[in-house]
Amino acid sequence: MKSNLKITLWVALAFGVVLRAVNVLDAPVTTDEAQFLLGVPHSQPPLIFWLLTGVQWLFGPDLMMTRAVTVLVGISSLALVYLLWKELFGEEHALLAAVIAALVPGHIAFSRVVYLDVYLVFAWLGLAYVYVRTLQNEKDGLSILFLFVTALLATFIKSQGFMFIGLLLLHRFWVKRRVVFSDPIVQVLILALIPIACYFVAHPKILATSFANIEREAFGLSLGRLLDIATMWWEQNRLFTLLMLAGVPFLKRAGWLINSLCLLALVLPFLFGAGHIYYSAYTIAFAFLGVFALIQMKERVREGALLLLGLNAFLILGPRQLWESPWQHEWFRERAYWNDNADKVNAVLAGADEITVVTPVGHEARWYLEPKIRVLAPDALTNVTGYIVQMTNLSQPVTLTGSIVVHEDEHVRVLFIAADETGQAE
Amino acid sequence: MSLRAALLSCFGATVLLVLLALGPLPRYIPLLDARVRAASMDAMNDLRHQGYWLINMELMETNIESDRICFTWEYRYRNRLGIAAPETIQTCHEI
Repeated sequence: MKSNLKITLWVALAFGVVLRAVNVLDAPVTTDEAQFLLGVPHSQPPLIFWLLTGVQWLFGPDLMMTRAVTVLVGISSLALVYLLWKELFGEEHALLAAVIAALVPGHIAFSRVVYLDVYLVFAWLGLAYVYVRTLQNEKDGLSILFLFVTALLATFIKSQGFMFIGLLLLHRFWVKRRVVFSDPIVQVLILALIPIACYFVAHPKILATSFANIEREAFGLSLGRLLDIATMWWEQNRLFTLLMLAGVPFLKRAGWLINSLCLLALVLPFLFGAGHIYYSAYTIAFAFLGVFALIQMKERVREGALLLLGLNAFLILGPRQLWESPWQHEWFRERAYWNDNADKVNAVLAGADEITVVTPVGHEARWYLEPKIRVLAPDALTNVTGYIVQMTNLSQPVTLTGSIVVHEDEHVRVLFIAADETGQAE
Repeated sequence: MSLRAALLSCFGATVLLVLLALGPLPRYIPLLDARVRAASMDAMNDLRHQGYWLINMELMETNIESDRICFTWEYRYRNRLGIAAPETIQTCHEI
C-alpha cells in the first residue's frame, strides 16, 4: 500500500474514532436507555446491566461515565473488524475495512448512548474472530474453551444474541454433515446456547416481550417491510447505504461469516420492527462488503469514495458546534433539555419523598427525577396530593382542583396540591 | 489444555449456569394454569392503576384458593440514586 493512502486511512480511522466520542451528553436518555442504565432488564439478559451497575457503583450515577463505556466498546469494535478481515482475507485491506466500519453512521450514533446493540455487535465480531481462529486448530483445548466463553457472553448481552451462534451452527452442520455431533466446535456452541435457553424459560418476561414485538411487527415477507428497513437505513446511514448496495454482489466472495452478520442486520429490524433505529448499528457488517466494492475501484475513485463516506459521517454526526447540517442526527441537533435541567426540576421537588408523574411517560423519568415516582394516567389523578409532574403532552395541561403551578416551561409542568385538598381532575 | 479437559470444563460451566439460570422458575410454574395467567393480567392492570412501575415488580408467590387467586409481589423501586427498600404487595382476584 502506498504510504500516502496509508496515512489517509489512518486519518480517516482517527476521524471515525473521534466522532464516537463527541457530543456524548447531547442525546436524551430515552425510555430504553433508562432501563439499561437503571439495571432492570425488562426483556433482556443481565450481562450489560451488571456491567453498567458496576460502573455506576464505581463512578456514581453519571451519564458521561456510563456512555463512555459504550464509546470504548464502539471503538474497540473497529479493532475487531481489522482483526477479522485480516484473519479471513489477509492483511492487505484490513485497515480499509476498519476505516469503512469507523465511518458507519448507525454504529457511530449508537456508540454514544447506552444501548445494548453496540455491545452485541462487539460480541458477535469477537465471536466471529475467535471462531475463525478456532477453525485453524479445531483440536486445541484452549481455543475451544475460548470459543465457548465468547459464545456464552454473546448470548447474555441481548436476547437476540443467540442468533449468530445459530447461524454458526448451521454452517458447521453444512461443513461436517455426518460427523457433526463429534465435532468439538458444534459441541461447545450447543453447550453455550443451553444456559440462555434456561434463562429464557425462567424469565418469562423476556419471551413475552419478544413475542409481543414479533406479533405486533411481523406481517410476513412484504415489500412494505423491506421499504421500511431501507428507509430507516437511509435515514440513519445516508450515503453509506449506497456502499451497502454496492457490496451486495460480493456476498459470495465474503463467505458465510460475513453473510451471516449482514443477514442479521436485515433480519433483526425485519422481525422486531424497522422503527427501532438502534438496529442500524448492525449495518457495520456491511463494511466488509464495502471493502470488496472499493478495492475494485481505481485508487483515485476509491479515495473519492472514502472522502464521501467521511463527509457523510461528518454531516450526520459531526460536532454540532462546528456546523449544523440538515442531515444532523435528530438526537444530536441540540443538547437534550433534561440533560441540563434535571437539577433545576429536582430543586423544585426537593423534600418530596414521592411524586406523581402523569402518563404517557417513559423510564427516563426515573433516571432524571430524584423522588420516588408513582405513574398515573390523567383520569386516575383522583385524591392525589403533593407534586404532580407532567413531562409530555404539555399542549393538554392537566388541571386539578386545589392545585397550584409551581414550575412551568416548554418541557415540564409541576403542580402541587396540599394534603387537605381533594385533587379532583377538572 | 487438552481438548477433553476443555470440553469437560465447558460442560461443567454449562451445568452450573443452568442451575443458576433456572433459579426463579418455581415462582412461574403456576402460570402454566390458564386461570392463573388470566388472573395475572388482572393483577398487572391493578398494579398499573395504582401507579407502580411493573418493571420493578417481581412475582414472589402464587396462592390458588377455592374462589380466588392471590399473588405476592415484591416491589423494589429503582432510580438513578439507588434501589428503595423492598415493599411486599398482595393482589387477589376472583376466579
